[in-house]
Amino acid sequence: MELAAEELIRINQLKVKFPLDEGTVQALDGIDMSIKKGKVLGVVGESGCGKSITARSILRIIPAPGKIDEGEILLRTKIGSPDGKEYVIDLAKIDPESELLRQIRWGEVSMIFQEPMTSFSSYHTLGDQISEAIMVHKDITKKDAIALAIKMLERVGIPNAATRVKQYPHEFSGGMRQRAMIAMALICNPSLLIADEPTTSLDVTIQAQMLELMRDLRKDFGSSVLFITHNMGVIAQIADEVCVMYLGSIVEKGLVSEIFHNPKHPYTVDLLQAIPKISGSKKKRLVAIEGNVPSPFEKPGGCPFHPRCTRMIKGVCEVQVPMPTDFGNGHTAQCHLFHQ
Amino acid sequence: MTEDNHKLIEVKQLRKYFPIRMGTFGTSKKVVKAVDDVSFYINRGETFGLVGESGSGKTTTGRLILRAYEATFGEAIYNLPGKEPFDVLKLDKKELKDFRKHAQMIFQDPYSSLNPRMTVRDIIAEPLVATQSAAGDELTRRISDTAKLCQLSIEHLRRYPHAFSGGQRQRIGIARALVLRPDFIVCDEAVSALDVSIQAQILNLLKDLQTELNLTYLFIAHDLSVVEHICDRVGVMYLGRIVEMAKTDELFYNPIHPYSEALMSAIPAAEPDIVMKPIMLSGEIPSPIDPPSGCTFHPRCKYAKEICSTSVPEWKEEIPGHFAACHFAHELKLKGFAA
Repeated sequence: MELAAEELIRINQLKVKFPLDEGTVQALDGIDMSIKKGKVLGVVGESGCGKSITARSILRIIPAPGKIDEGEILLRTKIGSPDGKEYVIDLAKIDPESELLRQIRWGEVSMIFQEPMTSFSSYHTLGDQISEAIMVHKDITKKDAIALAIKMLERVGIPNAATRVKQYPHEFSGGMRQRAMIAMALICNPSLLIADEPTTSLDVTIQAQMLELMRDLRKDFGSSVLFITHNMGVIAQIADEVCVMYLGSIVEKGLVSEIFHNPKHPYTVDLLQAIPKISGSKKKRLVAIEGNVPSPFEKPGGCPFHPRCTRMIKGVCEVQVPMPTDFGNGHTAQCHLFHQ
Repeated sequence: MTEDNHKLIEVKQLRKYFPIRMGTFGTSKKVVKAVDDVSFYINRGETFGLVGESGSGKTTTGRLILRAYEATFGEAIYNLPGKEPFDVLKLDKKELKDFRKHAQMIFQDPYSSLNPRMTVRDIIAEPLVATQSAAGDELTRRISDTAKLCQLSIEHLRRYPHAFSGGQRQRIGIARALVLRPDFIVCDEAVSALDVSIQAQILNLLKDLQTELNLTYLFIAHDLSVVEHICDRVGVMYLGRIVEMAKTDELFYNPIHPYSEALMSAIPAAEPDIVMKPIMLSGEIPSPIDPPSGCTFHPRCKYAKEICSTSVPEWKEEIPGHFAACHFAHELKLKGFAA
């Protein structure tokens, strides 16, 4: 199992399926993803593209009855290392109930969600919850853990932290809860922070504060970030590299400037033209992608995007899954247009 | 032709105060000033945007001018074609029933705004039936005409809402709002719950329908990029008050209220080369139960002076067509959206 020197996590050909009564949904259909140390990888896509499932696969918290049926999730870590040195483990092969994975969750890889209340128990004070998170991973007393929690809450911009640490989550506003969630996610200094639509339900000025906070914290903590969102504006501001997903596949990936200025895949091109961009008098009609995202039970054959693609090649796109084309500098796209 | 003939709606000093009980045994009575002295106007045929963050009062305002809520105070004067001007807030039950033929609403959530036990046909028919506007063949014809306008097919009419995607359900909601051929539609976060590619379809549809049917829209939204794209004029609300109103370009590129300036600076530009410099507003949006004194924005405003905490700023037309409520609107040099 090999990781390049600058890689923290590499996902190889990951497949996740949900065997449901109505049929099987292939939520992830063989995705390849690489998260570099200290960098932000943005994952963008619409409903049903699989971006959330990707995040949950890494932490092995895919909701039942979903399961990984193929592929690797390679992580560089010291946790569970036989000799205390860094090694590479395959998260896809570890028992999700194991002590090793419990140590990795929040110790090495943590997550923040769209709804801050998902992370918190309403029955416990913030102090109790954050100190518990620390004590699972570090051998310290509760008193010391609370002191660390207070420091962290201050660091994420929550005023009067010493008082607030004794409060319950419902006593915090949405923006404050989001900050508290970030505090809890970073307290054990994980090497990867997964952010699943963290700013989607926030007001725009609070969102700006949140993005600023995350940029700031990255400088201090040096963690990599997997940032999942459907908002291209936020991606442009925060990501170093981008993966564009559609119906369980990564259709294009590359550096953020490449994706925005030189998009190759028709879905990426169309998506960029469908977003309203502030343009004053130079306003153009939005280019809408016709049709709807297909039901996951009725996944199109061949390239999943072909029924809505304006440049579909008859006889090819409906039947063959396209192979990735490499445009250099880490920029790849899966489309028959480039593979003639 | 006077200025007033262009205005479809003129809202004056609109207020909505919700009484609430707090404290042990509900002994303490307080008031939530959800909408507090709001004045604006919408011109015929235009799309007027109403933006603001949580607690701004924009949704309540939309409902007040349709009489979905009863206002505490104020006027909402409608100038409908072929009718004498009237204040919707003073209409009686009978007059209101007729009013509903002229003003309708489209909602945010395509999943909860349609009755799951009614077929699409029945959903679209309901306004016609409720106002006894059509029956029999005429009813059928009007339903299918409207469905077609919204790009819904005849097959769709027989089915139930759960069979459709979010975007299609939104089309059904639009068809229901259109079937009476109203003059005015309130779009309350009508595209907020939709995927980007579907949002574009619905925005294009709304624009096309406006041209085809001579509609006027009040477009309530929190996504400023969407508002900039579709609106002709925009009002900005904060904690129940309207703080600025202008033509879209004016507002985005030349805001004169500090809150608008902060909003514009916070919009994430979909352009990686632009480094955002958002104005960080200190603190959070205050509670509407206990709003700050004077100008409600003053605790978070970097330009605030003493007068801002003691005196409520007047809503003034600072430049023709450009209104603001700020003691210093005429002298501040603010930055607009930069890209």
